[in-house]
Amino acid sequence: MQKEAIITCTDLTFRYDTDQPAARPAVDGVSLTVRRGEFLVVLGRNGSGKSTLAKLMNGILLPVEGTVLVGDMDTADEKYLIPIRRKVGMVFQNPDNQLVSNVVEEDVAFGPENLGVPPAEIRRRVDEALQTVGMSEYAHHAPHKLSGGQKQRVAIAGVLAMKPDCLILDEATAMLDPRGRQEIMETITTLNKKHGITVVLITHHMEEAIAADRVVVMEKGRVTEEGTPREIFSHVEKMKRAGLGVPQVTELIHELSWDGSLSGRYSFPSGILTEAEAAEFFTELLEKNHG
Amino acid sequence: MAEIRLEDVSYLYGADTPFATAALSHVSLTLGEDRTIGVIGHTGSGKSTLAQLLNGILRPTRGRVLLDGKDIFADPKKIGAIRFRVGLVFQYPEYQLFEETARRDIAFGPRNMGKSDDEIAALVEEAARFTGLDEKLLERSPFELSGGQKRRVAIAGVLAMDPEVLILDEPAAGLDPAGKQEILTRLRAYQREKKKTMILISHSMEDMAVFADEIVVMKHGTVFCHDTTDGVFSDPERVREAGLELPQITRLMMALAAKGVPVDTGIHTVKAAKACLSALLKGGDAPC
Repeated sequence: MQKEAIITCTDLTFRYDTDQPAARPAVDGVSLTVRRGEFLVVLGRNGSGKSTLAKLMNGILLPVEGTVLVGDMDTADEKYLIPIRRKVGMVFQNPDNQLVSNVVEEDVAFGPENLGVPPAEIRRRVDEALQTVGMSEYAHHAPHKLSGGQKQRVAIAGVLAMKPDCLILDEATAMLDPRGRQEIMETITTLNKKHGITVVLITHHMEEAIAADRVVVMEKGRVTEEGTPREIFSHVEKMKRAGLGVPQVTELIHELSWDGSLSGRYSFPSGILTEAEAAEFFTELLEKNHG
Repeated sequence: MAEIRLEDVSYLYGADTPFATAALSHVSLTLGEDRTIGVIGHTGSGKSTLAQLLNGILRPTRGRVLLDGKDIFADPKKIGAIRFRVGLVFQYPEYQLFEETARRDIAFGPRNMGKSDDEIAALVEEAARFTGLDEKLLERSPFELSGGQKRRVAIAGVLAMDPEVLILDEPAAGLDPAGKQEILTRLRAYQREKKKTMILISHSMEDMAVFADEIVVMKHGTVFCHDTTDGVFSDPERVREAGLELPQITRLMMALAAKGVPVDTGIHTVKAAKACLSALLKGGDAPC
């Protein structure tokens, strides 16, 4: 059964420069549904329209053509602006541009304060949000002294304090080191699996897509591919042509399958994504070979 | 061509205050000519401090930085000239573009060096060629260019000074896989053709595995290890100890070795892994 739609984009088009109707739109006729509870990853080259799509999804940008519905609220209808922003929270790339306060817990409280949430409830939400992202012990620290990964977790807590249904991360791991990226991936996996929050993750890191329920690929403003990570990364040549990559083990098995003297003797499956899967695959092949 | 050497260099932020913290402690390092050296380490390991010490933006609290055997601070008033010889490209350098055209932006460095118009034109053209910038783009405002193009203009601006040593802090950060591959391939070609000393600061062991001749691993403000790329990968567990992520292909080799398959756990490129596994699958028994 298909789960309920949380964001529905229909024939969505957006252009930054409305004076030049001849120029290719940043988002060009996209229809895409985000379902409640899913972990959706959006891949695409720089300039493919990923970030524009994200901003259309919570009404930061408004469609030139087509519609975006959050639940049944149209982003183009001004009266829904605040409820939409509360339901769909965004975390951006640069951790230094998103924190507004000098104290971590005040920063997290900023959103619910603006929504007019009563103080006792704010206190409860801030504590809960910081606990969820594993930053409770930093509640009284200064944000600028935290690591990049910690800052992004505070930014996520700030969104959580508004009790969103959906969290959109627009290259939120791009400026982090591998450890910071891992912190964020662990945090959002918990949010998705344990707390049922819908996640839309926009990224250039192919390995972050492996854990997704569904992956969409954007090229020149359009959605060109859609499927499970296994389906998407099976098309090694197509992904490379699109300027994207595949996990190294997927590439390795693909390369071996092109060796005529091997492909006659063995079958090389596509869609092996992790080193554990690949290790098992090769061990079995070699055992058969020598056994 | 130039060699750059650190002799027992320490750097303290907030020296002479109660909040002094050591960003770098007793670092001795020789970065030789005509090669690409990857400097890698997690956040706070001292990588960026090291980069700023190498071209004299920071002055060592203790120890000396030597360029071809001469202390770069021998005459502190002449430190500006060192910055022409040791070029530094910061992270996200496209935020520092400011001129009216890409060409003028790239020409800014050589103009400050007092080069003639003809020399400047030649340097700009060469820098644009190495970074893959189309002639037509040079007449545009840098602000009309795409993110990837802006990044290349910013890098070209440092190449145009024809520095002997080139340091780049995460030159591929934020670029998509193809964009990253292109810029790193171009920089590598530049380094080889011009026989420069190129220092790439990075978080990514995967990129360094492909593009670096040598790797310096930094940890807590000290040099954790410095070896050829093959040498560093010969002990992958040690790389992990420094808090770094190994390339997936190396992790596969380690997993296979743990299952008793005779593979070299030091393999760090898809190409080498392909050669090794293809030999084994063709019936070879020799470890690879």
